[in-house]
Amino acid sequence: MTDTARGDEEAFGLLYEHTRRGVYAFVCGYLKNEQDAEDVTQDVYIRIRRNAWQYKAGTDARAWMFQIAKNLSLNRLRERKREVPLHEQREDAMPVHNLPQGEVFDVMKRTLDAQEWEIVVLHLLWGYRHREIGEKLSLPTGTVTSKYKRALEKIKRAWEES
Amino acid sequence: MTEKELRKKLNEELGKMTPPADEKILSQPIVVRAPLSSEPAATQSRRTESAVRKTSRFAGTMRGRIAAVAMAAAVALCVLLGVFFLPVALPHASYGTLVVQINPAAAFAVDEDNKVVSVSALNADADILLADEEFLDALTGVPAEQSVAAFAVRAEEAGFLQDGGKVSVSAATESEKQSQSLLNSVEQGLNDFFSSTGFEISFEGVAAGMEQVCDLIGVQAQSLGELVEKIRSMPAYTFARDIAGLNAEELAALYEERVAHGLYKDTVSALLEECYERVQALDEMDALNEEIAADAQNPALVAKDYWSVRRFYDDADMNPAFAEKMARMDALIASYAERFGRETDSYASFLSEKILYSGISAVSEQIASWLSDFTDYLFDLQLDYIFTLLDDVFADFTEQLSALYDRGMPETAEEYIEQTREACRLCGLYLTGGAQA
Repeated sequence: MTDTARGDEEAFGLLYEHTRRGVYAFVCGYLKNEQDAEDVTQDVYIRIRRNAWQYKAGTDARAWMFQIAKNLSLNRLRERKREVPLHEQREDAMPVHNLPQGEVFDVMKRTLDAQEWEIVVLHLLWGYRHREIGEKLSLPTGTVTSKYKRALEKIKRAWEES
Repeated sequence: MTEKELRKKLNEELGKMTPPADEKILSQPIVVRAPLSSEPAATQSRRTESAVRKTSRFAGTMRGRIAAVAMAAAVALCVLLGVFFLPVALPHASYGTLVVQINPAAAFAVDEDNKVVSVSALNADADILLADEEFLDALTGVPAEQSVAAFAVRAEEAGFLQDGGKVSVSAATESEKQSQSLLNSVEQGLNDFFSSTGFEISFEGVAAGMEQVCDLIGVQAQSLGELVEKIRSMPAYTFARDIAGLNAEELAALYEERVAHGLYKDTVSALLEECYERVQALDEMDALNEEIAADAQNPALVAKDYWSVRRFYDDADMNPAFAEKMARMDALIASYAERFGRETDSYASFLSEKILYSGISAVSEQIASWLSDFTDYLFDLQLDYIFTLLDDVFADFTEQLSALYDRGMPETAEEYIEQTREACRLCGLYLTGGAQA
């Protein structure tokens, strides 16, 4: 991220390659819609390129990207609410089967609730420790650990059954 | 499957789902330094104004309505720097004016040490924010960039400044160099705060002349010193500036129009709208819970509600159609928490929320009708009843608003200013979430 902030295109390429999965999975947890998730993921990286100068070297680049992804996801949710008159709105989140198909991904979306999804994505894909996730989500570390374990068990069981 | 295998498989799948960086991403240049105001729009936000919410019957809250109204006007936050009391201006200590255009708008007078000495609202939205006298006091005695950033933060908290919004700053000082220096420090102050939030706020800095600043503030002055004095001596609130010479009857009429049928009505409408949306959401959850409980595929033997199933049968094999209902309920609960800041992740908490809004629920159709056609007459007629309805959910806030409304029309300029300021303060409290703490 530091090299990207200096305008290094190759560094940006590496950054994109290393983080796109985590960003996409995180955004899916909010939007539950393939098109919106793709659009917002793209927007995250456009925003990173546009605001690279704001990144302070030495600080947690993941946290910076995470915040951007969250804000853009929430923006999209708000836009979606404004576009559809209230009396036509069913619910904020689109049905989960609008997400793209993938074996483990499919299992996750069938079995995990929103919080479990976020915890699993942050740990498995973003590399955050349970304590760090607890701080981010305002949860005790023990709760994060138990929810993560439970989420893994659910995924494993569902995977074996399928 | 081990955790390691899971991670590997997930990465593989997501690798296929997410494409390589495409032209749309790569065509955006990597910006390596803070863009100056003179730089082309490519380095600034594409959006040139804060989001204006649709003003349909159901869309938006009061912050959206106020923002929509305020956006129509050019707004200015003026920071005036000057040496006020020295008979001879010393070159190194003498500045001019700094105009920051943001919604809301306020004028800042700053002394030779770059400390803010006075703040005055320039539009109704700023009246609302600055009506909190503690906050107003906190803006003075600190460096200009700190004060401006604090003001912008409060505007963001109240929903006036949103992601993608623009802050325009015009500086008029005794030299362009001083103007630029001041612009840079204010911009840095804003960027320091907003960059940590992930928000994108575009910044536009311009060196302006004294005449332009006078136009923005709505005063006339022959010199920067005179302009500074005018700003220091002007009342802090716009509503306090246009009542000079009004008699009691005219004051009452103005209060009725702007406060009783303006600010109060907007505030109460926003509260009603929020209640209506919550009731709709709770009813939807209730209906789905009933469906889940009655579903023949529900694995529970006794307690068949959604929350009990999640608690005791989460690991059970569920029929796919039933599992989808459970997932839909997960989404509704998460959505409710996201929209309204309340968890309903247990039957008890859901019931508690439902009971809290039961009074509103009983008259939700009536509320929907009010929201679509809330005339001043209807507002006056129904206000007591509405306050009773809202009491359960906004107790302290509606009690204060109700007490203020009951005071009736002000008869003197002092009463007008005091009552209007209090009304603005309550409104600001609601917008920044203080009322619902």
